[in-house]
Amino acid sequence: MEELEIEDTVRKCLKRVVGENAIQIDRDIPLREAIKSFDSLAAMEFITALEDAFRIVVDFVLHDVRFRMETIEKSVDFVRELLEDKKVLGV
Amino acid sequence: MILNTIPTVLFETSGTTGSPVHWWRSEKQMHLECSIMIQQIGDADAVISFASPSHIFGDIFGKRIPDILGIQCTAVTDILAPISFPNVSRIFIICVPSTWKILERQHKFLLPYQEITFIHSAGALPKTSMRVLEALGNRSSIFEILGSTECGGIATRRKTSLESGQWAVLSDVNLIGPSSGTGLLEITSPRLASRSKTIPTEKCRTDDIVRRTGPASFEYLGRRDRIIKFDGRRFDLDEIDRQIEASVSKHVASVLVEDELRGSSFDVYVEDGDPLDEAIIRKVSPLQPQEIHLHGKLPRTTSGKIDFQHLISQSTQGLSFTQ
Repeated sequence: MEELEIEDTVRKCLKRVVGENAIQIDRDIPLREAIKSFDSLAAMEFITALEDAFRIVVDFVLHDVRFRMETIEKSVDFVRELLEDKKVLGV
Repeated sequence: MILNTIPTVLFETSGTTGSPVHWWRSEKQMHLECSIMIQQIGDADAVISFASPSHIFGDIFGKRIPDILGIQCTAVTDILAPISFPNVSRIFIICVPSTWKILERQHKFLLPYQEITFIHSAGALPKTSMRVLEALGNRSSIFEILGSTECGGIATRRKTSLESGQWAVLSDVNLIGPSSGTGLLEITSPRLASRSKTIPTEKCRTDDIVRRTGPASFEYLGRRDRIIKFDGRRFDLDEIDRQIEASVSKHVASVLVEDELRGSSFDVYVEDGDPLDEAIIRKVSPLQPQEIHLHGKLPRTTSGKIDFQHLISQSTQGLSFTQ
């Protein structure tokens, strides 16, 4: 999956949680700063939406999700890594 | 111990409009609530609480009861951070809807416990709760409490499987009305909160619809209203529909749906909807809908009203309600 395609899906997942604002958020701005309503529950909704959209599993203990999904840019990188792992490991 | 009977403990409820409503309780009422619950919940060596102590449920089970029992309580304030599971054999876990989704991911950390009591009091149990119970086997059970900020605890039941089960009212609660039939849940209790510090509340009528099965038991059938609780605030779906209709100038109908993280959410159906409507709705709605369905004609009853039950039956996660 191309990076732009991943980012588009990441933004669509975020849009489901926080609304239309997700489309305009800069890639490198922390989501907690950019979106007033982005609390830990919203972050979990975002993660769940990403898991459903990309068919990946995020491990809260293994992955430092607060850092790895701090911005759109980091979220895209994180998803890409998980997709690559999934492709290599076949899980 | 001398307990203050003057209302000094304040909780708030708030809605989409207007100022927060204040609900006063005395220390004596809070202590009574704790005593009754302690008799029912059994024993544990420690508590993990996901419930905010600013609400009565979190205050009772995450602060006061651990203090009375002299057991450690770990408060989970950031659900994305690793949880510190105490090294004991019996544990109470105080749950809000999102707790189940977190525990489903981390249930392996619960396997070493010999006895786990999940204490839940936030509307219907999400389906995730049953998956957690199945994963943990017979070491776990769910102690459910039906109650509210206004009434305090009203009734309880203990579950080990998905079967619905009857609710048994707490020992100091009296159900008002005939002991059989269906109607709104109405009670008297010495633990009712008051709107003012000087005038006590004598009885409380809820928006819960129940079928009485005995003098102190009932089956829960649903809610009369269409309310979603979000971050401690109450949102009326009828009000949300009005706000959206004013923006898209089309008929819309929102239906309650199950949400595994927040307990309940809603889907919006738009009559003759187009993609632009979806963008507008996501911008103007005070809460984000789970799904927006761009419909042709909305189904209607013979009297011309929108047929909500038909829409709910179309939604896979739909929650029924009574109009």
